[in-house]
Amino acid sequence: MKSVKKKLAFAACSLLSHNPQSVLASEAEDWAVDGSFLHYEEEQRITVNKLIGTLITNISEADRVKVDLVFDTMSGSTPSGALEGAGSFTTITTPSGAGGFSASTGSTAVADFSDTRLGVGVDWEHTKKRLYRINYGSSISVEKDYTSFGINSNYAQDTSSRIVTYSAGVAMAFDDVRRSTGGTPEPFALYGAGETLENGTRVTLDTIFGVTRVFNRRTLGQVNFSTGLNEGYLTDPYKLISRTQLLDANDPSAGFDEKDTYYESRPSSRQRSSVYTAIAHKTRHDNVLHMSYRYYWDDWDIVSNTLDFRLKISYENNFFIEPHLRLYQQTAANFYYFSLEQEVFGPTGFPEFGSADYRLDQFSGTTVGFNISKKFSGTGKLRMRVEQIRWEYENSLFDVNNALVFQLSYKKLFE
Amino acid sequence: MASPCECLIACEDETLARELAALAESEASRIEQKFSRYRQNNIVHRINHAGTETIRVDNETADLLDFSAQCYQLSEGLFDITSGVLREVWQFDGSDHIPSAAAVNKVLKRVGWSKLQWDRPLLTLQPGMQIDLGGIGKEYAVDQVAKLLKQRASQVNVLVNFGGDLVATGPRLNAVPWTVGLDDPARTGEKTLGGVALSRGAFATSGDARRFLLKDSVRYSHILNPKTGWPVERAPRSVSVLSGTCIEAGMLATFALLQGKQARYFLEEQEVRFWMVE
Repeated sequence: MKSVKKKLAFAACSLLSHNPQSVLASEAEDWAVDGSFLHYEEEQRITVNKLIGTLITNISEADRVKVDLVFDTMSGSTPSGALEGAGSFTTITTPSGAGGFSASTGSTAVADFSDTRLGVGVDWEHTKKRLYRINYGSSISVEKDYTSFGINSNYAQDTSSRIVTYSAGVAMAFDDVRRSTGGTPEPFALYGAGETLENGTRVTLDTIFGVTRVFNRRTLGQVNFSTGLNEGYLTDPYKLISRTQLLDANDPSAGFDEKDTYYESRPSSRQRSSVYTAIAHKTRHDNVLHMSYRYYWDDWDIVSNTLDFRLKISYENNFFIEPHLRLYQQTAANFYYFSLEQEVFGPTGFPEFGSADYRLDQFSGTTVGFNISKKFSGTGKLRMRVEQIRWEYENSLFDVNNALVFQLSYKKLFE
Repeated sequence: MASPCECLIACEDETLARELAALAESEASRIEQKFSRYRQNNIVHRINHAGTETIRVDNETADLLDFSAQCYQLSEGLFDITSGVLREVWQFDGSDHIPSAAAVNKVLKRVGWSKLQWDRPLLTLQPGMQIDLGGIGKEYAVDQVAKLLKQRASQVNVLVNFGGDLVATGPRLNAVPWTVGLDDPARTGEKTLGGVALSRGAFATSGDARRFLLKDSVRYSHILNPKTGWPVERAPRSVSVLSGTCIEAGMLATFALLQGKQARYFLEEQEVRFWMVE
């Protein structure tokens, strides 16, 4: 029997008395490739260029594998926490590549660095009867001064009505931390002196529990609770802290005199918890509003609040614009000091722990930006993200920092 | 239709969606009541109980009979709406009950489209003959419902799926295609053979892995060759075809099953997208 399709189509048309209908279909994507370039630049500080490649493939109906490759180059300088030479800090030296401190300005207030990072992640997701999903992931990240290996697993179960999804996850990471020249400095040793200790190692354990609920056809809500623990070397081997003495003990505004500079020292454990709530709502015009709030606290006494708003506005021809606003605010760690004040600790005394890392200071951050995306014929998607971030620090040598994020991504689905 | 029926409507107007759903339901049950051989007081029941009396049929029934005649010719006699009486001797219940050749031959005398008289709109059967539009009815209903909904609201696209035979009249909102999973007959409901992003077109699947007879290690499929009265040898367990209309896809899938081991070759000849489980 030769081809009967045309005759059959004709017979079907006369039966249904309508015009022949053509087929417009493609097989569901078996794999997808996502390539992305990200440029992050802080004003006069760090520049990061990142290449991200993601491959997602369905190895069977129920199993999906995702492989991520990340390559970063980072360079620039970052505040070290020290005050020495702060007064003469006017320029930033070019990246030395050696990962040491700038010699040309004679300042230890900023640390120059240049590094590359290679990260590989593999994630396997298994779905059964479309009601529950389990995934296992692992990742490796390597830099000159940092190696990390992580494993994680997540489980999500829908109720039979599919209105509620419960999820639970656990993640572990094993890190090796060192200076790019090897080893870690002795905590609270005089900068440039002291012993070089062996590499720092730490273990991180995180757990997460979540509930997602569909409220109606257009609204979805989510609550997550996560708690985790870091154990081991949590100090930053590059960060410093200076001892100061007020010029006039009765008038702090008169200024201070810099004394010695030391390597910082942090506790060897950190217990973290957070609650995250999010709501997503699709408006009648198919715009999607996404709002989330996160409350975080840890036993270093850092408490933070994060509010995030995004509104994805759809235009014709699969074109989307998504404005984004993020507000962040945190309290300082209980061992954060602008400096070790001689009036408090004496000429040689130390607190139990001490750090002048600006990231442990009280600060606020505001992110304003947008995403633009365009889908092409159902299989390609181009995305551009531009964000401006501004941080304001309460009690750090450099009280303001600005960054620009630019990201361009292209995702392609294959049959 | 003896199977789950659904109608997905890509529309933001709830009142209109409800109206379309009600329309779909009434049209589907109208077709079922009119053409099901399991019901009485319908045209098929009247034809099958008329003996050798000539019956004048309505236009819609006549269209379906014309279509059946064309399918009989196109399949070279393999698709035959009079073959239903073979079920009197073949019960596909997974048992080893194989009828005798004599019993099969006796029933076969009452099988054959060429034996009846069809002179639109007049139909006359031979004694003991019956017709069964079950091989066309569901696919016809899918296309008919889709057509009706399109006539009622031309701007609204729908996907009509009656027990796995389906048609999409256009993409979903924002030109997003419908995603259709193809059930794996070996692990029905749990596993699929793959998926298709369907913006417009139809799918139909024929075959049923759970209906067969087994004797002396020979698996007899439930696909009967109306020319011999015996099961088609080495018929695929399931064939799914993608085509313009559901009835076209359904016929191609059925024709393919009737080709037995030639099924794949037949489908390749048709230059259609198909999925086959052997």
